[in-house]
Amino acid sequence: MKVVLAGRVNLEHTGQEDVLESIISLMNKLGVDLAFIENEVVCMEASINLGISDVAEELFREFKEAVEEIKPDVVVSAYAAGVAKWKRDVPERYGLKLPVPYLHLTEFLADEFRKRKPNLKPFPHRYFLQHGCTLGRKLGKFQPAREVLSHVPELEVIEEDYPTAELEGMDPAMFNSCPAAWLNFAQPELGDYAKENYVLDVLVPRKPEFAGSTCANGHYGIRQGLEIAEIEDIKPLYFTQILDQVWR
Amino acid sequence: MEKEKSIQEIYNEYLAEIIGDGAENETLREAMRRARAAYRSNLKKALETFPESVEYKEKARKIKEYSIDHLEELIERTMEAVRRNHGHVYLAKDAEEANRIIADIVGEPKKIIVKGKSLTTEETELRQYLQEKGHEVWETDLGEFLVQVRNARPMHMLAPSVDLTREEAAKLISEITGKKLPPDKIEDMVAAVREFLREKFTSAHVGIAGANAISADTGTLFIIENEGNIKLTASLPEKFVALVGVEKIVPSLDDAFHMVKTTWRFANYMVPSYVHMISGPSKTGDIEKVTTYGAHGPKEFHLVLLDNGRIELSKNPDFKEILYCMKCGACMYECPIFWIAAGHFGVRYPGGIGALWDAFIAKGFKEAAPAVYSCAICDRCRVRCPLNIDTARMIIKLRAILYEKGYAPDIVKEVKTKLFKR
Ligand code: SF4
Repeated sequence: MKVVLAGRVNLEHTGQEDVLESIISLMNKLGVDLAFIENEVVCMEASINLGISDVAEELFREFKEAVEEIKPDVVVSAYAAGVAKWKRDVPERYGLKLPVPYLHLTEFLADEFRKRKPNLKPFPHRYFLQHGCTLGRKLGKFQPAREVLSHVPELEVIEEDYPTAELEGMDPAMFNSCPAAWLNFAQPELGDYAKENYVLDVLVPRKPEFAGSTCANGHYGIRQGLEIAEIEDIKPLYFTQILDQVWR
Repeated sequence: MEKEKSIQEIYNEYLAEIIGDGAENETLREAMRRARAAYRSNLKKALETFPESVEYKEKARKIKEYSIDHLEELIERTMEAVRRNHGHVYLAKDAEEANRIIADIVGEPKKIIVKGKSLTTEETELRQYLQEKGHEVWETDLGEFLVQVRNARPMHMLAPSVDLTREEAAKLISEITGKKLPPDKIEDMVAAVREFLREKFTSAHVGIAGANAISADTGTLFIIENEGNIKLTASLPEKFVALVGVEKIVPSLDDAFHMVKTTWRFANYMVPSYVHMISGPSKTGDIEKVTTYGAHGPKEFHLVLLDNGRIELSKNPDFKEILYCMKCGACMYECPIFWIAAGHFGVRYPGGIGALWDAFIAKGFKEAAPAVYSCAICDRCRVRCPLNIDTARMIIKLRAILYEKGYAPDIVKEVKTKLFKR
């Protein structure tokens, strides 16, 4: 199967090479033929979210053309923004559609793991999972990440609760707090305080050993927050890093 | 003539406030932690006790959708109804006109005015306007009273002093009332303010408040409160004036009651102590069935409906949802930026939805731009909002307009060159 991995440059740009390596390694273990977009720009989805309207269409068009040239079976990204933008905004605003499905990494892996039933080593640790705001609240995709992580023996996944979620008939993850990573683009000075506060108010009281978000952008926010708050006994760990480690 | 500020100057001032007074203030962060915990536990109790409230949300959204789509017609119907009820009614096109109308109603010479908490009067800066005219104006809601005496601005839609800890409140009230009040005795603080304001109520000539909803069929104002200050504001003075944004109008009494009960349930009340319904001046027909106005309550009832851009906004398909906001304040308790900055996130109206209100109604695009870019677009406010208002989506759309107008911050403009290499 040929897969385009979108967002490689974002991971490099934010110094998350460890996450990128784990994704590539996992894809290799799955026997995937991995391709990248040459000249990919960092987070083109930000063109819409920040209002940079004069270049947005051009960026998405170039991406589409690059995908058409590579002819993959699927586009996959650790970032949720691409999944969301190609689902609604890009077709609505610019009439552009990709020739193949665009999946979030959690969805792709959930499908693959369902087919292959991997034999993973135990990972006996407390892991805090944040559902990225776009992937979770906006797209309603909570189950793929849960399903993927359920394959890891002895992993204790901790999620944020919300006291009225059940009464309101909602998945508690709909209320997951936000590590404010999008502020990196617009008001990073303010964003740093929000990230620190996220770590202190949401992560620390739940005492995980590791923490990560389903979305690589949220993950970056958590990572930065842990650093700013100088919390050393919770380590940032993207879920693919766990999977890569426990693969046999 | 004062030079117009550049957009970057506006950003710098805004960031200095939101970070200096907001994000760096540990006391404020602690106050917000306490407020959030209290909000969640109260809402849980309320939803357990009244599980049917969860169903209110959908109907409330439908009522607002209809009302905003028929706004001008409903304004007409409301004005007719108020006149029928022997009230006076005005449609003010902007803040300046609303303040002028109210100043005329108050009249000369200098008067004592008692005021209930109202975001719409904050929007027009009515208290400051009347004070400049020489009137003695008192905010009578405890939180808003504390805002007035410390010359601050409200930090939340319903809890204007949400940023204040009990320790700070005790210090402040002790200073004003001259009583030594310990922070562990909130009851004593409340009693001291009550005693201080009681004399203002009994000598006031005019009472001013806002409203949570208006029914167009009967011209009835619905006002939710807990403290009893509105009860006194709306009944003791000779004249009662309500300043209300036109978006608060809904077709019928039933609709208005539905909006009000949705507001109070998600604003964090099990049941509010009072819900007032006011349709006109006080009257009696007890002598020969001759209706005579001015019995025990006010002799004059004035409703000032405020447009200030709302009618135009109601016709904008991309942004009319802004007008669905009931100002319940629920979303703010779950906003990651509000957690660290309270009402410093925003200019006149707080929070993400407040940034939109600032842009389209209260302040204009240029002044609101920094707050629009403070939003983390995490969408959590929509999930908490009983009306499912999609603030993040509107913020994103508004950013495209701001960018085109040159109101985006420099850092955003640099994304284009540095990240997109264009
Ligand atoms: S946006 Fe929704 S939750 Fe926020 S104040 Fe308005 S009605 Fe309440």
